Amino acid sequence: MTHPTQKLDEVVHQKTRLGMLAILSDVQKADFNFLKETLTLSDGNLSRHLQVLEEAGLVKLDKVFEGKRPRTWVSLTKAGRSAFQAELISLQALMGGLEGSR
Amino acid sequence: MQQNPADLLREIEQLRSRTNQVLNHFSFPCMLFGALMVMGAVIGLMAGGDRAGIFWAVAGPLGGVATGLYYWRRESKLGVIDNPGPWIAMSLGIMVGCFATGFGGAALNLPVVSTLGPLLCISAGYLVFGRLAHSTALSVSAVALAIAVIGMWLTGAPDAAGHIGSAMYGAVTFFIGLMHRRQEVQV
Repeated sequence: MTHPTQKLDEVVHQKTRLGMLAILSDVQKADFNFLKETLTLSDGNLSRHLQVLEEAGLVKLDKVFEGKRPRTWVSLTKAGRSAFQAELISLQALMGGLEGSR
Repeated sequence: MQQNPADLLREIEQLRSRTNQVLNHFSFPCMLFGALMVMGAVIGLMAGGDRAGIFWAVAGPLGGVATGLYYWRRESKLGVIDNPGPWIAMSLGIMVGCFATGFGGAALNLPVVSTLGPLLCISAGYLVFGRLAHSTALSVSAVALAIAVIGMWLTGAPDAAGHIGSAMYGAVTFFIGLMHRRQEVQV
């Protein structure tokens, strides 16, 4: 039997990225500023995490111009949704294991 | 966020609930359609059911478009867009159900269908709406209003069930919208 920790995905498990996936899992898309304010991150920090998630194919970034203002919309991909669900299951399994060992 | 699994799960839940709180705003459609329902009831009482039907054939789709534009503008400003699918399906379900039972019942000369059908479709829609919007007030009102209009019909007041029932639905819907407006995140 594999230990639940082995099912944790390093890309997803990182606390800030997990928070981003949690927000995106319930919506169609969110913009850069919404994520930044909700997670209280700096521009650079958020950009770095978004890049990691995008490279892993977990989120999709749409850079658009609204009037003269650039705006980045972020949405979860199908793989991102599955990865988030898998992470939740692993965390719940880990919690169950911790409670069982007490 | 903490790294402990229990803390992580709790914080995930907090983030999701904060996002849902920002998105949970339904005062505009409630107040708009509540006011339209009261107007439709007044038209029905003064000019008859056919005129009320025409009123809804125009006001219903226009109200739907206004609601769509409202959500699009608000969510664009907030920077977070909700999944519109369930909301569109619910609105279309109410609209199609109301027109099918209202006009179909009238064409078949079945007043019980043409009078109660649209109101019960609205109640069924409100149950879905209440679930989507996590609003107990909407769900309870849906059931209470349905019981009230069926009661009026059964106690021998079919006209009251139609027009007064519609006005009741409108007033309650408007009031729920007004109350919910206080809790909504304003942009």
